Amino acid sequence: MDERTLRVYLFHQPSKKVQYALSILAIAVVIGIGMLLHDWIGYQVVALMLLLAVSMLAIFLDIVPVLIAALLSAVLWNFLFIPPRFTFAVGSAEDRLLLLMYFVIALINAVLTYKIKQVQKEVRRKEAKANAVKFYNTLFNSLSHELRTPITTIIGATDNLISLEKKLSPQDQRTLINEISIAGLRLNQQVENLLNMSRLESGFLRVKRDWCDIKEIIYKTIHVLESVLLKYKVAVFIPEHFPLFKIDFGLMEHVLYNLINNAAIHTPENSAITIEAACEDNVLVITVADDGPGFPAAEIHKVFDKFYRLQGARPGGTGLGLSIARGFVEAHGGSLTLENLPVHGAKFSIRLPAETSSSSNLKNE
Amino acid sequence: MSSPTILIIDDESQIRKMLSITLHANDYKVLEAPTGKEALPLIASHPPDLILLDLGLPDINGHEVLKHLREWYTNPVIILSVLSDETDIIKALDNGANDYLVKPFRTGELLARIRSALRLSQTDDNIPTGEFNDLTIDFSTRGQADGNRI
Repeated sequence: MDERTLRVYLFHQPSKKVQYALSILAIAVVIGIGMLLHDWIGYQVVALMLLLAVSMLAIFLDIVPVLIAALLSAVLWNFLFIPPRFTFAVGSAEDRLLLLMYFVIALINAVLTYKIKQVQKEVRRKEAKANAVKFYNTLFNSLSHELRTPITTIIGATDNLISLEKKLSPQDQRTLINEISIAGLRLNQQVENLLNMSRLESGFLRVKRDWCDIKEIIYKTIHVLESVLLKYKVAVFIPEHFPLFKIDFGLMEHVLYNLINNAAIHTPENSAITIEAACEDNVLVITVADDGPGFPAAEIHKVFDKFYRLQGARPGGTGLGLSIARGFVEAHGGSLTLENLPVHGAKFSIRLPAETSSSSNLKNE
Repeated sequence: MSSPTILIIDDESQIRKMLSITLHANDYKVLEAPTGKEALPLIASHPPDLILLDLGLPDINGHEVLKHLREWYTNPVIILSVLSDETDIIKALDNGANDYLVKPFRTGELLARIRSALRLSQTDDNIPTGEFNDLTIDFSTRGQADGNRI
């Protein structure tokens, strides 16, 4: 048993019903063993065995089932073992004292263990809170940077255009207008990302499947990203007579947008970006590969995490794009994976199980 | 007097472009640097009359750049940052910034603050050095150069 499963075993508490059943069962088993061995061991030893059982239960269970186990074991011990046996009467003063001490020790055991658990819970709660605060501070800083930078550009550029119009060369005016447009698109993309994230998180994302031409989705996405991709070598490979797939056009367009945009952001200019589509047994496979530097091994498993950004990443981006892409693919029942390529570069693979036109009555005309 | 040179240190090319057009249109000469690493040698080789510094730089934190700068650079530094926390503002001013503007800012205000900072530093330059016998006091650098000894 490795450490993780041990922790789960120790700290993941079973449901209430299971807890009550466990405590009663444990006491019954110990009582049964006591009955069997009664001829060889004294009834005091049975009390110690019961005490051991209650202590063990206190480690795993909530306080109420443990208290019930303590009470039940005291009553049964009295009834079945303390002479005169099979009565609730207690013969000697010594035994009365023993019974009382047994009950008190069992109670103390239960309560102390409960208190330790409470303290542990509090520590864990505080840790979780500290992590959440740290997470939201990072998030808030990156968000405020991502939203305020384009706003600063828009306000600065419009202030210029309004008050300095005569001093600005036509070329400068065009540059400013162009910057306003870029800033607007950037703001829009950030807002879109945030809205999509909340759609995913709220669980209200609905996949509207319809027959889609994969070629159309890919080329439309590339067209939208035209200004970004001008400085890159983009190649698309789609087999001839590629079937139609029943998927959500809008969501998949967004996934491809985020993947291709991501490839462009994280590779130097003139890098090759290769988009390939294939159909393997009714599973649509789309890969987006680049020949850039690839992902650092230490961080590759974190890139799909919400708000995660690579160490020393270029400015721009909130770390939402890839986690949204994965969320949308998973909403389709598919998977999105990332691997570094052997020499250099990285490859994202989308695998979507979907109805295809070749497997249904619909024909691709 | 020739037009003052202003260095923009900001990792966002959008902000640099916008500021550079604004400053050019107002007859300032403009230098640009996207990172702290590129800025520091540039300041050493072409000391600008004023620096506009962003705090959120990708390589060296803006506060660190400011501290390095202040070891030898005496002209005004104005911080332009999205950080609007009082603690950030106090830290920057204590580290030697002359002024602090939170992004987004209005262009008119930025230009006024640049004029104000330059006016102050130029007045500083215009303060004649005080000479008493063979002791020269340079008020702008608050240093002294003496002919022989104090």
